[in-house]
This record gives sequence, structure tokens and C-alpha cells, in this order.
Amino acid sequence: MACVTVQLGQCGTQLGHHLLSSLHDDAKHSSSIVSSNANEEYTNASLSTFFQEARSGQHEARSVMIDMEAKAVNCALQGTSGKGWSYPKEGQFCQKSGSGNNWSYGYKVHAPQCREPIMDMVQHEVEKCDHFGGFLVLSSLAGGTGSGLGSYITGSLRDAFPHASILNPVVCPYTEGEVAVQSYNALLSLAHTCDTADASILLHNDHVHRICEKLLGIKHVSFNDVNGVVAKQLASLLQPVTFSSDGNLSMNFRNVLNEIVYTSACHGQYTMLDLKSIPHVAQASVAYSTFSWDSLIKRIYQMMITDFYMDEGLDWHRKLSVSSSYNTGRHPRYVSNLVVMRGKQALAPPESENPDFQNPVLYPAWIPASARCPIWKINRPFEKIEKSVALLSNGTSCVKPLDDVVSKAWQMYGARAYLHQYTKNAELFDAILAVLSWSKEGEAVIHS
Amino acid sequence: MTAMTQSIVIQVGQCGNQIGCRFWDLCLHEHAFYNEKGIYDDAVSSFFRNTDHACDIPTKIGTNQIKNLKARAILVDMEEGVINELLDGDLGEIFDNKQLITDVSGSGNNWATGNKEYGTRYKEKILDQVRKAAELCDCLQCFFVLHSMGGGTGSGLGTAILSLLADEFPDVYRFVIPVYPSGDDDVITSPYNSVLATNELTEHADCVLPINNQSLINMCAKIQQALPQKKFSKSAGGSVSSGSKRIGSDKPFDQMNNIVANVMLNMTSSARFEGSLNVDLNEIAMNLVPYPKLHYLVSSISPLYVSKDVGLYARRLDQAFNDLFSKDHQLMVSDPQRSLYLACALMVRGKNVQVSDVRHNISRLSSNLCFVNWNHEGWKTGLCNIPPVGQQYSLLALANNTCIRHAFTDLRTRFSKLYSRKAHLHHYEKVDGFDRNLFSESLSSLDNIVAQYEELEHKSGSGTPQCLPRIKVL
Repeated sequence: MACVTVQLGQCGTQLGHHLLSSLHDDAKHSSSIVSSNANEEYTNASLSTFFQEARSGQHEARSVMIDMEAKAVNCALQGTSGKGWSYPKEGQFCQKSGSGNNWSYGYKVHAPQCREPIMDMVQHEVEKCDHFGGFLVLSSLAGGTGSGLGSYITGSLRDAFPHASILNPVVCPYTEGEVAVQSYNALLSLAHTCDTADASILLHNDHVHRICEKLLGIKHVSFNDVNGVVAKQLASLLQPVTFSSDGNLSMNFRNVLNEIVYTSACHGQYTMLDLKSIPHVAQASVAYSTFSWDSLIKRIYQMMITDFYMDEGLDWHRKLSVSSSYNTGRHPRYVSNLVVMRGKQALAPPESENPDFQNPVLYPAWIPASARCPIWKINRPFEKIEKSVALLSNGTSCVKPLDDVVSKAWQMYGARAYLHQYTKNAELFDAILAVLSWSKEGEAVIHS
Repeated sequence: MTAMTQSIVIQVGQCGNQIGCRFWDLCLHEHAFYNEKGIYDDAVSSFFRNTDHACDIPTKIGTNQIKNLKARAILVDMEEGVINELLDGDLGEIFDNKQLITDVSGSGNNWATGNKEYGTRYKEKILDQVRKAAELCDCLQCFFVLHSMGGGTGSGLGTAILSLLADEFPDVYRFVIPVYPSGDDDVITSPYNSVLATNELTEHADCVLPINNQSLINMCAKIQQALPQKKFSKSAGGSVSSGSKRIGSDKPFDQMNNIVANVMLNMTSSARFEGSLNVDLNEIAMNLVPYPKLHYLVSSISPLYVSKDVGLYARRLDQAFNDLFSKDHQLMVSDPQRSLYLACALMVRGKNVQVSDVRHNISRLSSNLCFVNWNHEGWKTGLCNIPPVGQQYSLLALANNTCIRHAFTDLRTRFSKLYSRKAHLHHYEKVDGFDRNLFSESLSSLDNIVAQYEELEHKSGSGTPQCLPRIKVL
């Protein structure tokens, strides 16, 4: 099942580029751990999802790139030369003047003007797919184009393709601002997309930056490094798998977006997902690193019960006990979790004491045990990393970041700052209310 | 067709034209340096138009190669000297007669003459030229208006033009870079002119980057001190000069004006060149102006340099970041570190400066800077890959900081000294269309700005931030 990537704004364009590169590299990499047949099957399954084969034998990304400024798009287009893949010739839409970090400018000015040509491009890209599965919409929350135009276009996609799955990985900016008005933009954007996208994966620049520094040992972290890590996290979630806990999945006809939405966003009200993965290994030291399933699983479990984004500096003392409940602030709660294991012997890891991912303490009572934490597996490693695990959770992880954003926006709104830049004040207030009520209601239902 | 936006520079009066001249020289240099193939491209198009389709730009200045490029500029002066000198110089070829407006009689350091008399007389001519320049743009995004505040032509006619732009092109951003006179300015009426002009800037500009003559003088003196005598020897002279022959020239005002030109180049670099975190010009006003009238931004630059090889260089990048917030590097005589930040843009040029350097320095410096309580993380950051010619990197900060109120208060004091004695008022009153009430209106507008900044300081500075109780969802 094919998936069309929609890259919006400078951040979406750059991240999408890294993601497509990562998917392509991984698909093309042939692993000695599995048979050549299995490799081939994997390659085909991955490439046919995110790319289509052009006549030249090159792969063409199923992508639509949209930015109101041309510079980032041009960089992405140039960035594919010699990489074995390219962007479709007529899949880029640019204007001359950006949205000026203003959500309302992107949503109210640019979007209605650009809607038609953009949707034509999307339609064209969808028609190229034999089996169309859904959209992966990449954008940031801080700026004007990604957040404003992005939330509008997501709505248009929903109208035009009511049955397609729409998964929005959205980048939350550094908390020490990239953009002074980022909390307004983020709120307006989230309030609009939560109704239209099936699920959003919140990706935090702050977290990834720390991962780059601490785990990859990069001294001068660049946006390339950050995007590279995020792209790998997403790719390790999206690439083919062979086995799910409730039965076999055929790689070829798997609708990956649909399955993610189905397993992770099972309750229409909770659509904010959080993605963690291990290990993060610097390219140069991959060859010297070994991993055991036992330790990886234990670490990802600990990251899950402590809700921490990396496996360095984890609080190992914290344990789940029957009596502990969320209200005492001891551990997070989830509507669902999804574990993806990739690598040597993933299908049948050597006997170990597996932690209980389905521990009822972590979930509200109304979630049946079988739906709590499916595990997807494949024996083929992701890129050159012998074993890796990703964890996609839907739960209280998103409450804290959302709450922070609401607080900031509320303080700013109270000082009536920047309001003249947004066309309608009431709308902003509604957005603050909407996000606030969700995170509150969310907590309430999760705790029931 | 180009894929980028364009800007038009409107330079008014002697000071505006001299700064403009330095800007065009350095801008041309920058593009010539980075545009190796000499092809007219999007980056060049933002400030220049191409008059023929051969599409080549000169790669050297000083030879006769400047034929096809014309600056997107309008030169206005009510005297002929400065502009004539400019046209006679090497840069003359990038301007044509259709973009000049001159008179012979000057404004006599009288804002009313510039604003009311010339403003009315030249209104149609100016609008006509602006419209033509705008028609030659694919997507006009900004006007940059350059003028001084103390004289008559720049402050008077410059602000008259600004309000014309606001009426005729409401959707195009209006950035004004005004040069405020120093306290010991020899124009006796300069406090009047400055206050009257400031009122116009408050009403009609989107963003104002005030520059203080005194800080430019201080900066040049600082550079001079630190350099071997030879390079700077002639800059001690005090004569008025204009027009220039080449970069790094000896004229005293050129050194000062280069600093202003560099601010403009750095501020627009991220819109012209590629980078990992672009900043379009419309993002500046969006992020830095929380309240419509509080749009005065204090700029600072680091390292301090006036040309490719004349400047002060920080030993380490971190040092350069420190300098950016120090008193010596502000283009307004002010100390933002001791006042309250409403928002701050940090625009970085240079290939080797990464987001981690910016993050590291922001978190390092934040503890010394005081941000308003509702905007603790009020940063706007930009990363452009292309450094200024001859530099490794360059940093520009644009701060919306309450320290600007001190400058305005000083100005008010100087104004009141004259006004209380009704000195020189008759010069203004005899100008047709000038209403005496403008004095008191302008003064109360200035007071209003000062009061707004004060109030913000007061509210935020009372120690514990007053937390607004959150709305409760029932």
C-alpha cells in the first residue's frame, strides 16, 4: 500500500528529505543477517510504499513538497543527486513570500489561494499509486507555513480523501524559542489538526538535540543532525515488519499508516502520540557495537514507565507496583503502546525475562489486554544496526508538553501581546481552550 | 520570474543617501563575491533589477562592467550635492535618472519644510516613482527607508514618504532606519525635528531600527584604538563627506555608515541566501513587535567591522555572543542588559555556526538577560550559511528592549528646553500646512511610548512574576 508524503514548510521539507533518504538507504541496504529473498522482499515492500519506480530505474518519491519560500525546496531537490532517488518533477509548490511565522497568515491568506494547485498535485500523486493507503504530513508547529498552511491542507486532505489514513509527525520547536510566537502558532495548529488528522506524532527538538549531544557525541549539533535522528526514528517505525502479536502480516500489502492509526489512536479523542527509540549509535561506532535483546527491551520498558526520551540518565529505581497509580505522580498512563523490534532474532529473541508491557497499572481498565501493547517484529535489522526497538505511545506523555505550551500562550494572551498580528483574537482564545480542555479531559478519561 | 521577494530602498536627505551609498556598494560587493558565475539570480534580484536579458552581473567594481544592474532604490534629496557626487562616483551607474528626486534649496533643518512643503510639492512625483519601482518587482515585500532625524529633509520628507507608503502600499512592510542626532548635535532645532519625526515613525512604520550617531562614533573610535594607526589614520578629520570611491575608503562618515550598511546586509541575508533556519523579513516584525506601536528595535552587531579588513574580531565565538549584548556593540547608546527584553532576534551568518552554538549561547546568556514574564523564551533565531565577505561569521541582534525609553526621555528633555522658551517655533509655524498642535501631539505620542515601556518594566520587574490564574475547564 502506497503512502504519499506531504512536506510542508522549511522544517517539513528538510525533515521529509531526511526521512525519504533514510527510508531509501535502509531499503537498499542488504543485510547479511537475513536471506537474499527476505532482503528483496523487504526492499520491494518499503520502496513500493514510499517510492515508485520511474522509467529510468531510479526511484521517485511519492512526495508533494510545499513551501511558501523556494530556498528549502531547492536545497532538497539538489540533495537527491547521486542518491538513487529523486522527487517527482511536478510535485513542488512554492510561493515567493513566506508566511512570516504567522499561523493566521498561512491559514487564512496563503492556504485559500494555494489550495487548488496543491490539491491537484496531491491528487496527481495519489493517482500514481496502485493501492493508495494514506498521507504522511510533515511540518513544524512553530512557523507560519507548516503550522498554518499545514493545518488547512490537512483539513482539505481529510475532505478529499475521507477514507485515507492521515498521520502527522509534527516537530515541536526548542522551548528556548526558535520563534517568539511559537506557542500561539502551535496551539492554533494543534487545535485545527486534532479534528482532521487521525494521529499526530509529537517530535521534540529539545529531546533530539540532547540525544545528538549525549548519545551520538556530536559537539556542534546542526539541524541536519537533528533531522537525521528524527528521520531514523520515524523510518524505524514505518518500515516493513513481518509479524505482529496477533498474527501474520504480509509485508507487501500492509497499509502501514492504517495500522499505526488503528493500533495507536484507537480512541478518537486521543490522537497525540509520542515516539521513542533505541539505540542511537554514531555511524562510526556501529561496527563495534553489540546489543542484546534483553538489555534493549529492559531499557525501552524503563523509558516507557518513566516516560523518558533516551536511555541515558534513566531512573532505574522506579518500579511499577500494583498500588502505584498515576495520581501519585509515579508513572505515566497509556491508552496504547506499540513496540517495533527490528534485527537479529527479533522474531524469537533468546529466552529472557520480558518486562510486562501490558501491565494493567499502566492502562485504564477499559482497554482490553490484547490492545494494550502489540509488538511488531522483523528479523531484518534497520540499516546497519544489529538490533533496535521503537516505541510509539499514546498516553500522558503528551500532557506535559501541551500544558507548557498552553501556559505560555495563556500568559502571553493575558498580556494581550502579539494579538494585532493575528486576525481574530477570539479564534486564538478558542484554540487555547480547545487544547486545554483536551489535555484535561484526556487526563480524566485516562485515569478512569 | 523569480522565486524570491524584493525590497525597495528609499534614501532621503544627506545622511540617508550616504548610508544608502555605502549599502549599495557593500551589497553589490557581496553579491559579486558569492555569485561566481555572474548570473542574475534570485538572491541578486532582491535588491537589484536587471535591465537587459544578457543576465550577467559584474564581478569587479570599479571597471565599466556595471551596465545591466540597477538598484531598486529611490534617491531623494532637497539639495543636489550629495546625490550628484554619488552619481559621479563608480556607483552612479546603478542608478538612473528616473529614480532621483532633487531640489536645490534644501529644507533648512526644518521638519515642517521637509514634511509639509516638500511633502506636498513632491507627493505625486514620489508616488509615481515608487509605483514604477514597485511594478518592476515580482513580489515586493519591504520598503527600507533611510534618513536622519535631526535635519529637515530626511526627518521631514522621509517621514512624509513613509506615510505615503502606508496609504498606498499597506501590505508592504515598512522598515525605517533613522539616524538620531547625538546630544551635542550642532543643529539647534534637531530635538524638534526628531520628536516630530518620531511621531510619524510610531504611526506609520512596521519596524524602526533607530541608530544613534554617538554610538557609531564610539564604535569607530573603538575600532580605531585597537588597530594599528595606519589603517585608520585619516578618519580623525571631521569634514562632511559623501559619495565614495571604494570599500575601506578613508572618508570618516563612510566608516560609520558602513556599520549601518552591514546591519542592513545581515538583517536581509537570511532572506537572500540559503541557510538551515531561514528568516524572511516579514518574520522580524511578527516576532519582535508584541504591541503595534512598540516597534523600536535596538540593533547590535558583532564582530564590529567597517570593511573587509578593518574591524575588531572576537577570539572565540562565545565571546562574540557576549559582545552582542554588551553596551559597546549597540547601535543605540543604551544598555539592554540592564533593561527588559520583550523579544529578541538573533541572526547568525556563517557556515560553521550551528544550531547547537546558538542554543548553547542562548542558555548561557539568558541568565543575564531579563525577559518580560510572558515571553521568557522570546527568541527568534536565524541561521544563514553565507557569511559577510571576508568574515568567518557575523552576528546581529535585534532587540525590542525597554532601554529605548531612556533615549526617548533624553530626547524629550532636549525638546522641552527649547519648547518651554518657544524658541524657533515661528520657523515651523510659518510653513503652510503645519499645525502648531503637532508639537504637543508628537510630544504626547513620545510620552505614551515611554509610558508603555515603563509600565511593562514595572509590571514585569516587580520581582515575582505575576502569574495569571489559568482558565479552568469545568
